[in-house]
Amino acid sequence: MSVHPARKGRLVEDSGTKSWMVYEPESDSLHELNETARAIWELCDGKTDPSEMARAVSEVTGMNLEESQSVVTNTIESLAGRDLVGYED
Amino acid sequence: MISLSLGCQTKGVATNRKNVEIVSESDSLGPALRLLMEDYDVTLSSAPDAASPDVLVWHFGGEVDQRALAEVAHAVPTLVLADEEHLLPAVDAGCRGFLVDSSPLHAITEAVDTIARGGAVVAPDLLGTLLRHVVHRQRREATTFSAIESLTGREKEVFRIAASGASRSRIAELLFISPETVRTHLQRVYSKLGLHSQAELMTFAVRVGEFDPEEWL
Repeated sequence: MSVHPARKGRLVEDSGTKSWMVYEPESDSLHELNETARAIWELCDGKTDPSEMARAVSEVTGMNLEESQSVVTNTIESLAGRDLVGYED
Repeated sequence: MISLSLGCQTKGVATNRKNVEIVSESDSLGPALRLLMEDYDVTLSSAPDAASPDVLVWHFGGEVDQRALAEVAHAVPTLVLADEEHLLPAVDAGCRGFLVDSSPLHAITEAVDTIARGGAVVAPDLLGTLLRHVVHRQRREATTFSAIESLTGREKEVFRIAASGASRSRIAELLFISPETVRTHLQRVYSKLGLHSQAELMTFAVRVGEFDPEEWL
């Protein structure tokens, strides 16, 4: 398994609530993500590894690195659980 | 530049925020900043307060002086209000808060509180943009960090003095070499580190911890 997660689906805007959601066509499902999950989903480009993401989260949000690693890892696992992130070889 | 100092003579919640200073580079202050002025009895002055505030609110009106911003952000926790494009240099400079300049008053005051308590604030819809920017910058820097090791001893000396903002002639004076030799060293340093100007070098040096103001000034 690659350490570079790759997002699946595409971002769509809910015209009613004006919130952003991810549409995953294979399962024909819509997923509402909070801002942190959405930001990390967008970083999942198949080239960026979770440690790079964690360093960026730490710098921008002021979290310590351990905490940001935990946030990134948990978020990616959650996204993978919904099949919104895969792992490219 | 307009400088607004938020004094302790306030009408409400700002009584516990007397050490907040607002600097605006915009000719027209945003609605929230105007509200701050009205509600908090802000006094206009011609320059920022000499006393170091607990939090600095910096409202960008356009291009940013990256060097000045990095110096300020390393000395005082800084909240930046700007459009999305101009917030990116603020991340690189080490600012602690990032809001778009159209943010409502309550968002600004909450951000000031959070930053004063040692936290950081990012407008939620800016998070993705800022993270992508930082990831790309960190990748570039990872390459650059290793390039520092490729500098010769003399180039490292020139790099560190230039990071203090010293002119070419001042560097030459300190190192007992000619300004022309300094120019050659600086060109090699820029080339090896992928930098383009002394301003970029200064920001970079602050970020990578290669700048010690006590050393050369």
